Amino acid sequence: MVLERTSIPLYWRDRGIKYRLLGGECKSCNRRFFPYRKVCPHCGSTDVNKVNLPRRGRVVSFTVVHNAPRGFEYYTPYVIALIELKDGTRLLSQLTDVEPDEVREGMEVEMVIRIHRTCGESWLIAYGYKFRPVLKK
Amino acid sequence: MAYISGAGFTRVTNHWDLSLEDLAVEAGIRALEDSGHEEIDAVVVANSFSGTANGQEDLSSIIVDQLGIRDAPSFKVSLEGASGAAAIITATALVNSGIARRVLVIGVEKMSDVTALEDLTLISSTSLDRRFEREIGATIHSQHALIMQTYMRRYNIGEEDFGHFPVLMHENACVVPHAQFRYKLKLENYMRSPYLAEPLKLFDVPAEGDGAAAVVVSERGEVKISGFSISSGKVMLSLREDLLRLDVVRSSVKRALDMAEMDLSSISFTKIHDSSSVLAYLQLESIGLAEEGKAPQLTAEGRFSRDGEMPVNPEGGLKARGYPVGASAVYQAAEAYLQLTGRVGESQIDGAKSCLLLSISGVGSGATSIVLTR
Amino acid sequence: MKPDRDVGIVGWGAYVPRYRIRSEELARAWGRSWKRYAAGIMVEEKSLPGIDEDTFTIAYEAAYNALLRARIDPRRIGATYVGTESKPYAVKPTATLLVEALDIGERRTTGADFEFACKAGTEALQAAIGLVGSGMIDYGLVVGADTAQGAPGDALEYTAASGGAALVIGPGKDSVALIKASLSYVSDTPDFWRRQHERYPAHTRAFTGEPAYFHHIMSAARALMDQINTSPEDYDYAVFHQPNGKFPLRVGQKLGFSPEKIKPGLITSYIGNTYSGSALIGLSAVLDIAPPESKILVVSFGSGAGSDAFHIEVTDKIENVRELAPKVMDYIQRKRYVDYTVYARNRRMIHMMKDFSGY
Repeated sequence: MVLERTSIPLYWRDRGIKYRLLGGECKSCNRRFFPYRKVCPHCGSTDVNKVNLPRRGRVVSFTVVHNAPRGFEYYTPYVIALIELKDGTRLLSQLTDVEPDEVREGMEVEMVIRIHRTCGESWLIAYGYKFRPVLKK
Repeated sequence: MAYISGAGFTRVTNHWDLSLEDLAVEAGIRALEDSGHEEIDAVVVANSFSGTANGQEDLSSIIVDQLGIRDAPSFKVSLEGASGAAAIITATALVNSGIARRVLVIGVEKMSDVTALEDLTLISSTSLDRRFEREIGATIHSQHALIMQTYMRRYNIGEEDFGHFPVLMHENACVVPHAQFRYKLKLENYMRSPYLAEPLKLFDVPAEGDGAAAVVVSERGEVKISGFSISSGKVMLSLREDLLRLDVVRSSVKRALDMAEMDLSSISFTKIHDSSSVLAYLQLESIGLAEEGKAPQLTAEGRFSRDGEMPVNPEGGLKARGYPVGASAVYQAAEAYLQLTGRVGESQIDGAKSCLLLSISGVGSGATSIVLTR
Repeated sequence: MKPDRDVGIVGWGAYVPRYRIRSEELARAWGRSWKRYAAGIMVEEKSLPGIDEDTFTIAYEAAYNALLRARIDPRRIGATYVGTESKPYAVKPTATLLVEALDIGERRTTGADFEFACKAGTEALQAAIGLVGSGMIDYGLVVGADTAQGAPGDALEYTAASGGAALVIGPGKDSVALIKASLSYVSDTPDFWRRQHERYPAHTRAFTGEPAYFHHIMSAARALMDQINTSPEDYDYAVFHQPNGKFPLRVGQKLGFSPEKIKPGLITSYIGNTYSGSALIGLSAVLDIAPPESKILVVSFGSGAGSDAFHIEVTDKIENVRELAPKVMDYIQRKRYVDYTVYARNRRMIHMMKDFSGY
């Protein structure tokens, strides 16, 4: 059996990005991106600042995963969506608090923190961003 | 200048009785026999998942040892689905530079030792960004599905339009002895197949089959490696400007054709990396074989059939010949070598003189192109 | 107990998961008639967590809402306390997760999880009042949240629910409601407990009533009112711990509070008993509607046993912040009913293979 356990240092290192949508803002091309990285994926500049991205956005495209990898099978079917945040930054996220057949392109969504996965009953609970239909306009 | 001077492969299937190294040795011996037992002075192994699926690293040493080749340099080249092409290009560079005169390239993948579906899905998804795609539950299928969804929306087409490609691949594979699936696929069966990640269906993607293929890249031979190129692009879907633009395909195809001093009109047949129906369409469009949004229709009309204007994947592609991931591009080259030397029997394309081989890593993170001419 | 300097609530926030199961459906799963068996508890449906929710994710959203109303930089918060009896980890604080997720105090904050059955949240509140009141810190964040356990088929299954509420505590001058006084009353009364490593709590049925719930709430409420010279007539609202829909009304009646003063904060009838969240969600619902100068009595109850009582006075600042976050009723009205199979799956009641890779 191939059980890929959550790497604790990897999870720990990325927790700011996973809990607070830490992205990058390029001083050179003025564009933002997610997740934060040293080099701007748009223009290649290294003049990049960290920025907390907006928590609201809309669904650009989505899919319903029926065939999950190990570690995610308890949660099927779940929705993976490409989301465009209010400032135009795009990211991939699971949707939550919504049934797969209720999801629509263009649906307004907001960030929450949810369980991403666990590994058996003894290992770490990995938390991070998911998006759900906005509660209040 | 480098040439292919011999080729060999196993059938693509679940080889329950053969191990990873058994498969590699089998293909290696067949290619060496085919080349007339040339002396080999380097071995390049192409493979994607031996670490995760088989728990075996230092793979080239294991294979060279079991092949009985002594005192030849060997190493493994890995570029997920395009590993085989990267290995052939590496071998070509060794020959072109004069470092080696004859290089044995062996592509091998053995997935059937992993039996749980969740594990296979995990392993096939390892080309995704681990931290921000895979750790949030994205899979190789979810990525293909998002692209498929975007394609459907932009060109206003339905799910059945994606069935034309797998139907064609199954049709082609019926007469190919080493193919994994030698049966016809009906569009209605395509439509009835289960969703992996909506709207992507089971019949949109290849199965993981075991297989090994080998070619000998030499300073002399019948088929010339006249152009080649590798392009790398963006891995994360969310960072791509347009999910339907495979820039890596455009650039690698152009560079390979330029190197060969050829254009598309002089290519007799093409092999593409149909890791999903939608990715197949996008490749046809990015290469320039179809206008944007027109690949489904042209496929249905027969343009890419074996007797069509531009035959594509005459052996059935990844979908029906089978998809031993790291070996698949070596299969492309081995099959193309046999096509160009007129040795494939029923799937022969008459008068084939040149071909373009395209492979993809991930869901378009990278692309490799190789132009072969007789 | 009164702090040296004035202390109050600067922001409040609640969270209730989207999923509900009807008591009738719970009864059906065990072959019982709901009307005959359990209608007396006056809880017709209860909330349950989504498949990806736990006490931390609930606490996070409640705390996020409280911070929206508090309008302060989270880096000024010096204490982060979570009261719960369903910690995601038996050993590993929930509070540190909150600190990281909300960027609290640039990590220079005290943080801990509190446990005292259903009164862990108000216990955390008292600790924060002490720190702010003494001037050791300026702001404190306290959360009461639970994904409450009740054994399958047991009477508790009809009420054990999920949700939470959070308060940002700060200096009186910034407050939307002043906490004028607080008092606790505890004794060794074994009415309900969960042993280490047990999945579900044990309880003592009728014994949880008079000697436990009623005795402690009434003792704490009376002692507090005696201490500050108030009587039930002085209060506009009363919030009591709400294990079911019946007890808070009855304890109010015994103390002299009319049902009209209790019902605005009686949330259990809609979502069940959220354990450590129960009294604080009730308080949040009252703050969602209470006009300035309202006086509120809050008395929690935790098994084992004890009660914390609070005298709270709403200030005119409350109108400025009320609309800044979703209200308790927004969450209550957002609901999707599930059947027992989905309930069992979300609550991880299904035995998976021993080497299953994870819930």
